Amino acid sequence: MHTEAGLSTSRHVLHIDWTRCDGRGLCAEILEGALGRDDWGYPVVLRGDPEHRTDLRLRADEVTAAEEAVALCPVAAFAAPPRRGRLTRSPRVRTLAGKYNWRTRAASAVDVPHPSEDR
Amino acid sequence: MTMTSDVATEPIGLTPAREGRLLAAGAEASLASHVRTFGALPRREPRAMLRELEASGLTGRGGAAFPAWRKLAAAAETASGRRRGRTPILIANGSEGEPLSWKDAVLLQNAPHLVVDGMLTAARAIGATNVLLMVNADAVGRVERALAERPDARGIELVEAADSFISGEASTVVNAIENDDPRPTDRTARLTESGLRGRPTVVQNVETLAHVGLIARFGATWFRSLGDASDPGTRLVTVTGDVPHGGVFELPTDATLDEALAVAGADGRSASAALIGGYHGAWVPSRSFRTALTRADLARFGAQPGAGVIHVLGDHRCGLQATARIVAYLAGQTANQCGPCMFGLPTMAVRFEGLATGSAARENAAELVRLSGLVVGRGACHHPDGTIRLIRSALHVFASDVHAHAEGRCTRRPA
Repeated sequence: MHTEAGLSTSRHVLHIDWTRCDGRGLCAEILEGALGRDDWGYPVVLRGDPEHRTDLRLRADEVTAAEEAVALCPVAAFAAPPRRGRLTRSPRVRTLAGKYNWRTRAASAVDVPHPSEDR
Repeated sequence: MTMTSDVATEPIGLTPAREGRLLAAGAEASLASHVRTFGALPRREPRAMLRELEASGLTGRGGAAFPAWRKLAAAAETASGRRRGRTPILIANGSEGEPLSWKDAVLLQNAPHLVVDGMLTAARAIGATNVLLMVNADAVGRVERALAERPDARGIELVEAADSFISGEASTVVNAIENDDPRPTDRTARLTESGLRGRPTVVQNVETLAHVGLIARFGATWFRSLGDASDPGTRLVTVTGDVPHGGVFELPTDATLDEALAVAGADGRSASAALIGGYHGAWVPSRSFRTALTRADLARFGAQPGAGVIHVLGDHRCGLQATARIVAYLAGQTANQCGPCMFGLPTMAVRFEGLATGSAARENAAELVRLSGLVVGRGACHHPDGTIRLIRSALHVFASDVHAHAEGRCTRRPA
């Protein structure tokens, strides 16, 4: 179960779906300091391993801002709902996103457990 | 001498069994000559087969070199775990988008039955009910004939791959089959957990599966009797570029670059460097051609054996110009989905062209370093990362050329 305390652990990750991201830049404004923008306006994760900048590992005090960024993203590049013709999105992500919708009434940062962790 | 072929359709001569494992049944082997050479395929108990594969140390031959047994075991585990009832899917990946590689084409042309053996063995080991084989358009006819020869292959679905550089990437393969959309997808779960139609999916390269077909018969100890101890066996390599007799050869995994050049009739002394691993690979300078083509030895060049691509650059050619052409090609192969790739790669191609032609070489080289650091690690697939690996490698290995170009010279006369 995801409690409020659970929401503020560092296991929370903001996952960028680059195939959807359009570089509008709202997320970089909301998460200033954690996300920058590149030459073309696309978000740049400003911490962690440069080779893995698709996921932003959130600090506890950034979770609310991250949820706002997810909710305001005009192209839904963070918590992607299923859409026609693109059924490859994993059901697990859909389930988690749905769970957050229900609990927090806002699309949320997707909690991605480490592949080796038991769910 | 090992087997060789200039084009996929050229028959390959019989080879000594010790070195020529995969193609030992000869050119365009029929089912009869296949069974005569290797014997009938034994039906192995699934758990025992997975253990045998683990003991063999077989790694993927499609590029990523992931342990073959681990992918299979992960899918089997997902299927038997909480989401029971989602039976796994096995996809044999013979879609070879890399322009410098045609080893999978040679394999499918000459030893399709060994690939099928590996597919049936792997499918049985993980309890897969759907088994698909994806091949390039050229191979469809030959593979169809092979499948028609054997009743045990009746369940195998043949799928034609798209003709693009990124068509062989695993998420692209799944997307192409499921949605007829040969572009990579954003993934937060492994394919072995949730792939095609949400089912645990194993995508294995066709050469990997051909080795599985051999291990099912002869076992792990036999497999390990050749090659590097930590990454054993043999691999198919495609040698191209400035060599007298380029083609596909089977080499032990611990063969050196010099040995690979020798089978193609080339002498390393007339080369300046070789591109290892493909267009997403890295350059190894000729003074280091005694390097073994193992992951451990290639690591210091930022290179990997990859899919076995070895492209030799003669010392009469400029390494920066050669790299500029490849970067331009790779920029044209972006799927135009992810911003950093869609905009970053063409920008880097323009910068590299400037560096290669000697216009503002120093500034362009500095921009390439900055842009590489900006774009790397930011895409749904590894196309931008692979392109940046090549760019960084070229700037490092051809550093003296960068310097010369900045002073209006070139260390080599362009051919």
